[in-house]
Amino acid sequence: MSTAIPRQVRRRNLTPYLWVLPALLFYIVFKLLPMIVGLYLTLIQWDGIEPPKFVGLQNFQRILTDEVIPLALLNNVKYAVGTVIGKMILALFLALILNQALRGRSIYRTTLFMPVVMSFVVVGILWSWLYNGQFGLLNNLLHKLKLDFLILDWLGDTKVALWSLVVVDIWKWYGFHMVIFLAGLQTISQELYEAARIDGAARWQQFTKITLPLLQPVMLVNVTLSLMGAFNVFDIPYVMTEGGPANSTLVMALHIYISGFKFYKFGYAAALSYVLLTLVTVMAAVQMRFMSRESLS
Amino acid sequence: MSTQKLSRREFLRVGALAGVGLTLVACAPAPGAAPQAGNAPAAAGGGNGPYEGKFVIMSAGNAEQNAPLIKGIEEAHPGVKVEWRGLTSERYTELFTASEVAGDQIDIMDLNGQDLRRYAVGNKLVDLSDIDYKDRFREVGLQTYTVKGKLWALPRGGISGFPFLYNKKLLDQIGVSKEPETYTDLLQMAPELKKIGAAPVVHAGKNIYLWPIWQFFAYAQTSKNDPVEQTFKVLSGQTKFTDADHVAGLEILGKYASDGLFIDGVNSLDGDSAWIAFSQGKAAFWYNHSSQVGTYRKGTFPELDMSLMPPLRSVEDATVKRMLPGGTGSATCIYAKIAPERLDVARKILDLMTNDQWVKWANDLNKDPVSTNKNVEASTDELAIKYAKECADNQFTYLDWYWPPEITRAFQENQQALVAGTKKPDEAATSIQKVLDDLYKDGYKFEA
Amino acid sequence: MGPLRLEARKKMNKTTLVSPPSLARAGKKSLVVAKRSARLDQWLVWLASHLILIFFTIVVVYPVIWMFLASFKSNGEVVSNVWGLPTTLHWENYTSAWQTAQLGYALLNSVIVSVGTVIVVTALAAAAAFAFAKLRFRYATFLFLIFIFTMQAPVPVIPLYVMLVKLGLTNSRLGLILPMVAGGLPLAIFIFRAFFQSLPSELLDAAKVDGCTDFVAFLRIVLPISGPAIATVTILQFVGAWNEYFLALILVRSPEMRTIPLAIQVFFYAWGRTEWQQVFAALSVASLPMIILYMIMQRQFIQGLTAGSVKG
Repeated sequence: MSTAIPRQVRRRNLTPYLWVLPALLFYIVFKLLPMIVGLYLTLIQWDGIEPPKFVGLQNFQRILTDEVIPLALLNNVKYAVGTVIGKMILALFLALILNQALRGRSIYRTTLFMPVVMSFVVVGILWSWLYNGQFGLLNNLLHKLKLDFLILDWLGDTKVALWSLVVVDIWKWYGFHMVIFLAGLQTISQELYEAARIDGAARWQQFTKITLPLLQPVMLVNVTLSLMGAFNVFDIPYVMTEGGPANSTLVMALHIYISGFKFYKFGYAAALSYVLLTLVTVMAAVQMRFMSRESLS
Repeated sequence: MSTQKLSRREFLRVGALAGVGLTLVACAPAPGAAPQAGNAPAAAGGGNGPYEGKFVIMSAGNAEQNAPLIKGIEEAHPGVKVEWRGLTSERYTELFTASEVAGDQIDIMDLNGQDLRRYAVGNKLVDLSDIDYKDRFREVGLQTYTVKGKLWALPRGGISGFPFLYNKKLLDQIGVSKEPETYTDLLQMAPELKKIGAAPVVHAGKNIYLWPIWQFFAYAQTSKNDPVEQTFKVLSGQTKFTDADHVAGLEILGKYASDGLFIDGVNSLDGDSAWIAFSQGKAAFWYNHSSQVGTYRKGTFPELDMSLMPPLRSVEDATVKRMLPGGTGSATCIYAKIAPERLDVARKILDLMTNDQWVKWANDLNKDPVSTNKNVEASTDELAIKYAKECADNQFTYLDWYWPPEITRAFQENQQALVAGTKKPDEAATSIQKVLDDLYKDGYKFEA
Repeated sequence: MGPLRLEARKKMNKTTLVSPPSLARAGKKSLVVAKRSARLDQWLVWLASHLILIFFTIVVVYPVIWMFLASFKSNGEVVSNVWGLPTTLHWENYTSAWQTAQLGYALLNSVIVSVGTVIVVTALAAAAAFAFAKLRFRYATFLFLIFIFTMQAPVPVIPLYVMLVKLGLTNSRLGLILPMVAGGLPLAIFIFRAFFQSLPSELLDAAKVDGCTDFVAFLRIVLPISGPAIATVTILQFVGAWNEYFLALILVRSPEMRTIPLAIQVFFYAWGRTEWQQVFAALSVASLPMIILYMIMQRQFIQGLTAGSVKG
C-alpha cells in the first residue's frame, strides 16, 4: 500500500474523499438517513393523511400489549429453527457428497443451485399450487404412492402451514448454502484426512474431528445468513398465505406491513420496525460471539 | 496533476454541488410535488374550455374489463385521456392511501361499498347531495351511500349479494328434488353427498372478506333479522361482540365446521380454488357472490348445473327470515382534493358512468339481478330473476361497510381459528371485541 | 435408468474416481478381505451418492419443468391431467397472460431497474473501493467500517417509504433503483476492495511514473484487469434487483411501473381467476430469462452469489 506520491507532501490531500463521496452520499441518503429519521416516526401517531400527532413512547408501550406480537415472534422462531436446521443439515450433507470426485458433480451443483436465482414470488406461487389441497401435485403424488394418510391441507391447516412455508424456503436456498459449504470443504487439506486414516480414524470420526471444526467459519456464515433471513422473512408468507390461516403464519415483517400499509399506523409500524431491527442485530451478534467462541475451544 | 490535490474549500464546494445534484436528480420525476398538499395542479386547460389531459379513475375493477366504458368516456370528452387504475378491492385502501400520501393525481374513485364510509367520514370525497339526476337511481342505493345526511357516492351497477349457490346436478344424483331450506336438511344430505365424493359446502376461507360475510348471514338470523341496527349498537359501544346473539352467530359457523360440512382445506381456498372445486362437482353448495352467475354463463362446465337460493336457515326459530348480505353496486365518487379545473369534467363523467346506458352495460357484464337505476331492466338471466324474486327483498347491507378494516380482519382470523378448531366461539368473540376496544383507545368513533 | 446403470458399470472399473476413505479400516483385516470390502464399500458410497443427488435434483427440477408443461395445457387439463404432457400446445396461454399481466411493461421495467442498479452500484463501489484499497487518507478505515457495520441491517421499511414519498420518488423506476443501490453498495465495495488489494502496487507506481493521474490509472490499468470482480458484483446485484419484491410492492402503484415479481403477484391475485394455465405461462415468462442466463453463465453465477459470504 505504499503508493509513492512523487514530489508531494501528504498534506491534507482530499482527493481520495472524492472517490468515496458518491458512494457515501448514496449510502447516507438512502440507507443511513431513513434509519435515523425513522426514529422520529416512532414517536408520532400518523395515518399518512391527517397531521401527525406526537405521542412520545406510546407506540412502544402499545407493542407490549399487542397480542399478535408474541404469536408473530414465536412464528419467526419456529421458522428460524426449521429453516436453519433444515438448510444446514441438507446443505452440509449434499456438500459432503459433492466433495467426492464424482462424475457429473458440476451438473448436480448447477441444478441444485438453480432455485437461488428464481424470484420468491414465482417460487411462492408455484408452491401454492403444488400444495393445493384439492388438485395440488403433492397430494396427488401421495395418493398415487398409496400414502393417503399423509395427505394434508398443507397451507390451510393451522398446525402445518408454517412448516410448509419452511420447506419452500429450504427448497429455494439449500443449494446456496451447499455451495458455500463446498467452498469451505475444498479449503481443508487432504493431508489431514490421510494422517487421520493412518491413525485409524473412522469416517465419522474424521467428520467430527476434522471436517466440522475446520468448517466452523463457513458454518458461521451460513447460520448467520439463514438466521437473519428467517427473522426478516416476508415474501414467502405474504405471497403464499398472507399470514393465515388464523395467523398461524403471521411473522413480524408481515405484521409490520399490515400495521403500516393496511391499517395506516405508520408510527406504530415504524416502532415495530426498529424493535425487529434491534432484535435481529442483537441475535446475530450473540450468535456470532457464541459460535466463534465455540470454535476456539 | 492539480486534480491530485484539492483544498478543503474546493472539496466542500464539490461536495455540496454533488449533494444538490443528487437531490435534484432525486426530485426529478415529480417536480414541485408537495406530498402533503396533494393537489398540485398540473398546468392544463386554463380558465376556459373543457379540460384536456390525464384523468385518473381509481377503481376496484380492472381496466381490461372496463375498456368499453373507458372508450365511451373518452369519446364523450375529446381530449380527456382516462387513466384507469385497477387497484383490486383487496388492495384498494392500501394503494389509494399510498397514492394520496404521495400526492398523485386522483379524480374519480370507484370503490367497493365497504370502503365508502371510511372515506366519507374522513372528508376524502366531494359532497354530491346537489346532483339533479337523483331520480334515475333506486332509493336504496342513494340511502346506502348517504352518510351523516350527505350523499357521497353514486351507486353504479347492480344490487346483488351473497346467496347460497348450489349444484343441482349433485342434488339430483343423491335423489334430492326439493331445494333444502334449513341446516337440518343439509345435515341429512351430507352423508349421501360424501358417498358420491362431494363435500357439502365449499367456501373461499382464505379471502379476507369472505368469512366475515358468512358471519353476516348467520348474525342476521341470530339477531332476529336485525343485523344492521344491532351492529351499530356494538360499534357505538352500547353492546358487545361478546354478547349472546353475536356468539350464537359464530356458533353457527362452528357447527358447520364441527359437523364436517366444509370441504377439506376450506381455510386455504381462495375464490379461484373454491370455484374450481364447485364447478368440478366436488362440492354441492358454495357461499359466494351472485355475480358468479356471469362467470358460469361464460364458460362450459359439464359437472355443474348451477342454481341459487337464500342462505339456509340455521337457527331453530322458523319465523326467522333467511336474510342475505349484499350491496348496491360500486360507490362512484369524486376525490375531495381534485384539482379545480377537473371538477367540472369529473361531475360530467360521473353522470355518464351512472347513466342508464352504461349501468345497463355494467349489469349485463355481471348478470346482476337488480339494477341500481330505476329504468334499467337488469339481466334477464333466469338465475338473476330467481335472485330478484327470492333474495332481493331480504337483502341487507354488508356489515363491514360500517366498520373499520381492523374488525373485518379480526373476524377473518378468528373465524379461521374457529373452523380449524383452535378457538371456541366465545374465545373468538372475545378477541374480536378486544380489537374494537383497542380502536376506541386509538380514538375511533362510530358515526351512524 | 438404463444409461445410469451402464454408467455404474463403467464406474465400477474405475474405482479411482471415488476417493476411498474407507481404506482406513483395512489395517486390522487381512489384505484380501480388506480389498474386497473396501471395493464394495466404495461402490456402495458411489451408488448412494448418485441416488441421493439424483433424488434432490428431481426435487429441484421437477416442479420447474412441471410449471413449463402446465403452461401449455388447457384450463381443464391443469386439474384433470396433472402428470401427463399437454395434449396440444396451448400457446394462447402465453399471449393472454402476456397481455393481461402486462408482462411487456414488466420485463422492460425489470430490465431497466436491474441494469440501472448494476451500473450505478458497480461504478460507485469500484471507485470507493479503489480509494479504500490504494489511496491513503485519514478516515479510510472509519468510512469503510461505516459501510461494513451497517451492511446487514435492513432499512426499516416505513421510514424509507415516507422518505421516498417526500422526495416524490414513489411510482418511478428511479425510486426503486436508488434504495437498491444503497442496499447493494457495502457488499460490492467489500468485494472490489478485496480484489484491488490483491493487485500489486507496482502497477500503479509504474503508471504514476508515466505521469498518469490516479483516475487515468484506475480507468486504463485497474478496471481492465478487474473482470472477475466486476462479474461477481454484477451478478450479485442483478439477481438481487431482478427478484426484488418488497420495495416494488410498497412503491409501485400504476400497472406500467410494475416489475416482474410485482406484475406476477398482482396477476395471480387479481386476474389469475380460474385460469391457472395462464398463471403458469406468466410464471414461465418471468423465470425463463433468469434461468437461461443462469444456464449460460452458471459458473460465474455460483461464484458471484457466494463470493461475499465466503470471504466474509
